Amino acid sequence: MRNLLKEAEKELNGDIITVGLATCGMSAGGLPVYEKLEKAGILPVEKVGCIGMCYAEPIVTVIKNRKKSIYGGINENNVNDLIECIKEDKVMKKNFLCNDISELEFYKKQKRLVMRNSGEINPLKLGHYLYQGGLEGLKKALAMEPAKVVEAIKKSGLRGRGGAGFPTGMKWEFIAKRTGKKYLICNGDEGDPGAFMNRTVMESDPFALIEGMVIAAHATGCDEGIIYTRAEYPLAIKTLEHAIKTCYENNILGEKILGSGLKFDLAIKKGAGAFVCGEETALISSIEGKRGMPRPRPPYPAESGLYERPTNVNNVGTFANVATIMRIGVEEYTKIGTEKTKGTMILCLVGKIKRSGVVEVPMGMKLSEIILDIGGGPPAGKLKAVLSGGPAGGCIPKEHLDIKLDYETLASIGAIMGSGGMVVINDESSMVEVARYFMRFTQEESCGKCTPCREGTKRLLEMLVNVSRGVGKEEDLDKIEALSKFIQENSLCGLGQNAPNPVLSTLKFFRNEYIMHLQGKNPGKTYNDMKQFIITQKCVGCGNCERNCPVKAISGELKKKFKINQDICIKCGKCYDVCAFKAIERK
Amino acid sequence: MPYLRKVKIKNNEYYYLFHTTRDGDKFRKYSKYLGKDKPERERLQIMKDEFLNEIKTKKPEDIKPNVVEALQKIQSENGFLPKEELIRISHELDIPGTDIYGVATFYGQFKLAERGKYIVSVCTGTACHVKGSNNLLDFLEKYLKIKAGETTADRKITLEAVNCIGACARAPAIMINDNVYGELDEEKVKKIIAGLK
Repeated sequence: MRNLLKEAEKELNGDIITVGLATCGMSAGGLPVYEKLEKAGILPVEKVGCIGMCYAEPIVTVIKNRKKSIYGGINENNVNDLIECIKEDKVMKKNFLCNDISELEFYKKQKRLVMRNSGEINPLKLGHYLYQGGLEGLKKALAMEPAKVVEAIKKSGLRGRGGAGFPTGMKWEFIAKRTGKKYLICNGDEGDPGAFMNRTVMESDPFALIEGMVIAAHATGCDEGIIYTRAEYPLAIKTLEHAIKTCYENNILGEKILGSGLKFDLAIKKGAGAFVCGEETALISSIEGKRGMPRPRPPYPAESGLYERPTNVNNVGTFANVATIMRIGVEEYTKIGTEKTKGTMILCLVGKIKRSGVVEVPMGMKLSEIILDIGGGPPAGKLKAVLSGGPAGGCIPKEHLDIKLDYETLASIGAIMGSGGMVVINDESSMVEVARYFMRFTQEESCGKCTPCREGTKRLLEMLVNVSRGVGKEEDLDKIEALSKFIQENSLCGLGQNAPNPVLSTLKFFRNEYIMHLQGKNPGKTYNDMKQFIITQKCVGCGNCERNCPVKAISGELKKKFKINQDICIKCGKCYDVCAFKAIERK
Repeated sequence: MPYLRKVKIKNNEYYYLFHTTRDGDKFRKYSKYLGKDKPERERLQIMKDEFLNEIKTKKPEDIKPNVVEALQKIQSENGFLPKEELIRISHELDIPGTDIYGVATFYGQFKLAERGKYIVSVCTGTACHVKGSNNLLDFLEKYLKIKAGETTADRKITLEAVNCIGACARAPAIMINDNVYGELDEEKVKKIIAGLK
């Protein structure tokens, strides 16, 4: 390991060019930039992870003669200009972002604790991680009794970063008491649309995750670990596989870890694409190779989990936090955050926002600071609401944006922290349509085990579709509310219990938009389901549409043009689908 | 004590070894597929010993067949799950075909129909949706003349709508096989699709 460290020191201290090549960098065309820079051969080029500024990808950092300059938006076309500039020791003004990230508005209010290595080091090189002070936390933990480590995590006030916010120390205490074979699972099944912070950690700093898991193994006495991640994250899987291999080679995994008596094996399991597998009991049955369906708790996984053995499930973010806590010490960590919620939170700012990306902020920061100061607000139009916590979360209207970021405050207004996805919505979108979108998502992803969720979400979606098309009466809104509450109270797992959240919170804060829909007006700009179906001159009068219309809104004589009665039409689109002559149009 | 049993499936006879163990108040049944022919007596005794040894030395996860893994292997070899392969592993793992079908249809990743050389997955996650991924999907459906979930006649391109590929900050995004393309509009998509060979 010493050699690796020396090598890294040499690489990172000297002149170097780094290119951000996580998934976002790749999608922006970072790979050809990297190849061209390497071919030019002016300075050593290194692949690094994601620094978080997804809006400016691909990002190239040049360190020459101890002077650092960061460039954004470098692509195949202008990379040659950059090479020329580096050769002549000039600054390429057009794409220049800053000399150090702390100068940017985007980073001024952030506190990069867990993500400090992202975008700074090559995620494939253990030496780089060591150079940044990696494994210090593990070394400290190994010198402590397991019970002391659990105690330290309890004191730190760390809460699960997966969404529910259960105290991690307590979870560990339960499992540490158990004897026999125990499993440690890392939940990296980040299915929330709009959230990719786990992916960023896995791609940019995989060793931190592994370090956190080994610390957890030491504290809880688990000797086998599994990282469960989505198959949709090919780069994260590749990076993790490489990291695990490197760790085995360097005695960070396997037997007698770092000279201690600890034994811990780690493997990756690929998910097969089911949102509900983010729920811990569903995740466990998915690892066992069954349908990923949740089961009632108790018994909790800490008693009977994977293969009926005690199992501890934590989120990727939680493990990354564990490594940080052990490294900087509990006292230092508890200084950050609010009274009830300690530490930092990694959030994803996406949607209609100027500076989208991954940010890490201390708990308790005002949402307006995050959205407006760090994210820069929406690029066009007016800010309308922020969706927090994905399809299980709720919307926070702009009037409430001065609330603080922590689990309790967000829950008090009907939203949840969730995994940390923040989708910003401006006045171009209709909130009814947003609620309908989420309902469609949860309805499709409902596993079908319990009736309230399986049937309830289906009926709720039907009602929402009707409202969004402007069909129905105001009383229907009360029905929607009643059904939503029923689903919340009676579903088996978190998916069903939280599924109606977006509907309820939009109904609470944006009831006027629902009413606008019912009156046939469009509160947003992008929405097009309010359009009417009209039969054009192409109609040959076959009568197929008339036979298929569920509400008998179509009438006419055979071999003549048919007509749709717009007062009866429910805009289901059936006639549009069955017409063989494409005579029906949406206008 | 392991015992031999004949199992009849659709007029075909198969031979299995069964063994039951007790762990506290929990019973566990193990089985092993031997083949279509009844093994000879001496050979059978060796097989029984081997079977017992396997149960003793293996971890529980090795004995319980993992259907998801088996399906993932078939999918990576064929690109989809052919019916014959599903029937084959049903016999091999000694799991009813309905259960295997149940797992195969539960997960979004598994496909029962043959797919094209390029899988164009249009992200319909929240961030992409807010930035107009549905228009992009509509455009692709028109441009490729297929609907989401279908494959072009020349088996070149399969169009799919997927939930979030995690490139939210570069929305709207599509994924073609393992490559992600972000911040797209109709013109850019046209160019990318035309570039596929």
